[in-house]
Amino acid sequence: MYVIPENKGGGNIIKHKQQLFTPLDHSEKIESVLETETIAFWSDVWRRFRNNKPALIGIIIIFIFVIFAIIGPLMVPYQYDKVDLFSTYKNPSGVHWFGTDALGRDIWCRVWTGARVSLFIAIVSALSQMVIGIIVGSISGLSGGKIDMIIMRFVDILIAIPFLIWVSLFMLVMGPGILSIILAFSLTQWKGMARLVRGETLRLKETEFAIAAKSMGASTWRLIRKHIFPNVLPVVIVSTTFQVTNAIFGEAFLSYIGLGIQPPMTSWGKLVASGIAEMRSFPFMLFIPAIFISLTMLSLQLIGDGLRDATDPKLRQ
Amino acid sequence: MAKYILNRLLVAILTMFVLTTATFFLLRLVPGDPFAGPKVIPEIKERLRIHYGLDKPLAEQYLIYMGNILRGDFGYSLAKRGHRVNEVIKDAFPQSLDLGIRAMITSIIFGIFFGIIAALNRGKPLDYLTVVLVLIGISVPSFVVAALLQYFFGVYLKILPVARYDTFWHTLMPSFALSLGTMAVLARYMRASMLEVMTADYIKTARAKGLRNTQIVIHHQIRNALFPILTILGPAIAMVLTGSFIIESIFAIPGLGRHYVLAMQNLDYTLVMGLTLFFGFFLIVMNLLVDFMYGIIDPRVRYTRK
Amino acid sequence: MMKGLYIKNNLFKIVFGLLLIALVFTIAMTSVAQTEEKVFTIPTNGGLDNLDPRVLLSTAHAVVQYAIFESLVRTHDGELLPGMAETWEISDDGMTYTFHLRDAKWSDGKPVTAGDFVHAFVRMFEICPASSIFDDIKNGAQLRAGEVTPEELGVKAPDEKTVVITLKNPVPYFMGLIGLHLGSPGREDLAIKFGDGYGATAESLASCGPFILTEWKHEDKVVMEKNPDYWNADKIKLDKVVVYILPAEQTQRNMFDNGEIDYYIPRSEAEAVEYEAEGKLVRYVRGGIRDLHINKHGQNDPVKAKILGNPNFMKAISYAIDRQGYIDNVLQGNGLPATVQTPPVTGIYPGKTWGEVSTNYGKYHPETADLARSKAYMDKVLEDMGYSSVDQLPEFDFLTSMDPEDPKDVAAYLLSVFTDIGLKINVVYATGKQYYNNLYKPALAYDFARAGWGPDYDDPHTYMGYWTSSSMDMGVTFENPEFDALLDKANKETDLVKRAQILNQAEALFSDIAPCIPIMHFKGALAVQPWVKGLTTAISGLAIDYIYSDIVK
Repeated sequence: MYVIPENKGGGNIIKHKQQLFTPLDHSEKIESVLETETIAFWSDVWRRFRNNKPALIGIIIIFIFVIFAIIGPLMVPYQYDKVDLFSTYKNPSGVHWFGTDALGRDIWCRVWTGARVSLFIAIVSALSQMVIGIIVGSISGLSGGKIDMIIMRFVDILIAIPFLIWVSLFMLVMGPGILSIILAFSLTQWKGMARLVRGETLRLKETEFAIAAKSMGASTWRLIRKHIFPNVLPVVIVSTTFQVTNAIFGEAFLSYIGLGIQPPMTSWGKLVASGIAEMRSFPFMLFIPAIFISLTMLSLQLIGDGLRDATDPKLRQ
Repeated sequence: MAKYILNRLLVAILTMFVLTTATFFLLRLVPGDPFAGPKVIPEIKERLRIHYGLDKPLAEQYLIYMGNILRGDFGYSLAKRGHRVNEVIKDAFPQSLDLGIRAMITSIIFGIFFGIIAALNRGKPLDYLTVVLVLIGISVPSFVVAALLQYFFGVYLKILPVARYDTFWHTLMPSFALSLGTMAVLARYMRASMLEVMTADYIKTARAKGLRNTQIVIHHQIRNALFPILTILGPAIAMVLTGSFIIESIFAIPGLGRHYVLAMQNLDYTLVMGLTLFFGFFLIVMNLLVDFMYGIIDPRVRYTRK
Repeated sequence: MMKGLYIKNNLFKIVFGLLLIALVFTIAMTSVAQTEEKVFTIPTNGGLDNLDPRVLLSTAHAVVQYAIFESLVRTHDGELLPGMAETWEISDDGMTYTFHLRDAKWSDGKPVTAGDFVHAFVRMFEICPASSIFDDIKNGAQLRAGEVTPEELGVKAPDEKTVVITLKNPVPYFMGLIGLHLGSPGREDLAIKFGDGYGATAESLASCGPFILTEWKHEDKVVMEKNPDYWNADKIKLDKVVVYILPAEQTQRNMFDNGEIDYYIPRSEAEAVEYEAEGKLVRYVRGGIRDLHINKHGQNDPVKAKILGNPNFMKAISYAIDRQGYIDNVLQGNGLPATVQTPPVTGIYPGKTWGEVSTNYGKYHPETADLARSKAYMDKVLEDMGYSSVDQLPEFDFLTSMDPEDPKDVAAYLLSVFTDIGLKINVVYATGKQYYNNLYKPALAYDFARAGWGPDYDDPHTYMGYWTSSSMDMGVTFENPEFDALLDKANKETDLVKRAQILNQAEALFSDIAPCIPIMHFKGALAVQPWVKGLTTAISGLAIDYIYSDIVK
């Protein structure tokens, strides 16, 4: 469906077929052909992605947020956990750009410290579940038979229960904290990725270039690395983007019910949760973190949509 | 068809089995004795020990536990003195089911409506408006939406009760807040599905036959575009279920979701375990029903799905 | 085309079916009846788990228990009213109380007997950790420890209508104590019949108070209706009391503003001032202390125990706490800085409050931070330990039941104090019952704990009694024989002025070296709907007393 050489015109197929009968040491050539294919594909994706304005705006927003998460807390002469009883509940001003909370802590500083935590959790857990998903999915797809069946039944069971329940159970056993949130997400969230990768692997296994590579003695690992991985990458990237949004929401949920980040550390979820309690008297304490969470979610959605459109062969014209 | 049903049934039973086993061992993983603690009255603790046979070998404990579950007996709550987990579920389920059904219906009706509107006006302002609405639905955390709704309708306009679940008017805000996420997802799917159907051959044929546009839209496009929507009903049910954790807590609805959150805050392991199993069984049964429905409606399933 | 038609029939059936279900639910859930009953609606934070007065004690439970049970006497608006006892006699030595019961019935028709009281007290000492406040009853503490049989307890029923309570100390506040819901009668037959489920459902309980428990929907609401057989039923004006269980305080405020509940406790002075402007605010005198407990056993770590058990360490923290600054700036004035455990408004003997008698205010703990003294104390601790800097101190566990991110709560402020003086802190945020599991014996799983205490009777003894070595009703105790002896001596003393001096001495000792840092006392503020009349407040026991109030719409 995504990156199949056949789709790109008959010329390539002929090339593969010719090379099916060439000696082993020439296999590098096939790869170079495939690699140029991949490069062409990605430049194609980029071209289409670039024209997708919302997705581009999303990328810019996320980029800005990441930059500010790094430098934001350093831009003001405060610390995120520094209590100042003599400047509590200050409205946003030149001194405190986003105001202060009930303990006089600078909200600008807290928002960007929270961004570090939220984005770190989201990105790390999305990446690790992606890695687990790719490994399990390709093992399942490549080996087939009993192993495949067992893995897929296991995935079925994981899917049957919503991920928030799994994550909550993990948090109960492991106790709250950044590390346990990341672990809980990555250990329970790889199932969708594994399914995707397995499906792609099964299909790619039957394609001619894979058969070709295999017939020329390429190892399984090499097959995964050189052939299957580049080909499943588009699906994987799109799915990972959406997983990042899941992780951000999940962290916010856990923080809201008190099983998430432990103070004085903060996160966007925690900031929103404490903002809700102050909403009536000090609305800015809710709106500032809520806007950041929502903008991030929105941007990730736009990026995900943009990537999906850009990599979807059906929409290529 | 029979083979298909049998297959789904077997998978469902296997899933339930693994889920119960997993929760049993998860409970064993809890650091220390889950039934320890001075506020756990000795008699209750003793009863729990008998219920789970904690002094016996692990294998026997496992058998006792499985036997209890098979008889539908989840034991006593650890934190709520004198409450049986079964009774908690029995008391709380009706509210959650009612809220869930309302939220599902709201999200299906509005989601499909918005999806159709967007598809029929593709590339026009109405499409973008819907897309923006959908993206807001996906982007804003549900507890923010719920808090804002409470303030706006309850405190500012004073036209709806702020919280609790009593009369019809009480149900409006929570079901809407709970439906938002699912509504957005459904609208997206419906829009995509409609766009796909609109370019299908039989629509062209219908047009060529000279059918009126409204007729084509209603009788052919919408009807056929609805079909793929059924496939995401299962995930949508799961989404509504987990969404209820937050919504029930905010609106003080005595449902399963609120109990689940409370049980986690109280580290009430037996209640968490019972509720997890109940959620799991419920979702597995719902997914099974969706699968059957799919099998009945789509004749192709009988042949292509195994 | 065929496919389209096929889908049409089935899909329409499904959609139609779903709509039908929704319709049925809507009709079923819509309430019809709206009568002119006088219904008083109360919000409560915590969950209600078990209404057996001998099982759990929290304000949420007490709100219901005070209405559905009737103790021997009842305190209302600072006045002692008769309760189940119509008359009573106190022996001259103040050691024997004889109560004569009135003819009263439980809501299931059975008569209230003296045996119900004996059962209640025996059960209390057997299963309730909070029973230590009744330890002045003869053999009470021994029964809790399992050293004596229930027959030896100093609560006896010589006949169906007489309860005789024998004390070991002639405590002056005993009539206030006996009016607590803990001392209400209990039903042995129901406790046996329902076993573990006793008190967990409306069906398992019989009422004997001004109101009858008629409906209890868990995690939702409790409905109580007027008891027509109550001895003082003529004076009870409300037809019905409904308690809503509402977890989020923001929700409570919104519901109050929308007229759905009849009172709301403002969370901050800013809120209180808003309600004051609307003319809805009632300010009242309230007891209670918010404090920081130090586990001097250091969770069995000898190094920690040595540090935490050092009174200088306690003082190093206490002098770093800016009580006045915290209350003025964070709580916007909604509280009073506490320099001893007992609030100054507490009564001690007729005509005097503790604030006028005690000499310990401001002496052992400061109102505003004194960082130089804090550092001096910390240096002494470091010297004792042979450390050269604060960094060498181990990491401490800080246990809190409230969200440490909730700025309204003192936990968040205490964390910043710990950071300021250079302590390394691991926050243990244990919600709900898990907090008590960590705090109480035998776990004592904390180094510091954010804690608090609400008074059970209007006497300084209530703020100190739970620190005696035999107490089960808190975490770590003072474990100071001199302090135990002083409190015991105070309760044996019948001269109230002398008694006050002994208590003052005990308080001085406690404030100086006990592992406990007082932080703040409370200011009572309550937003009440204009249609509520006659709502009274109390300094101890149930703070907001609605029993005799009225609704005039």
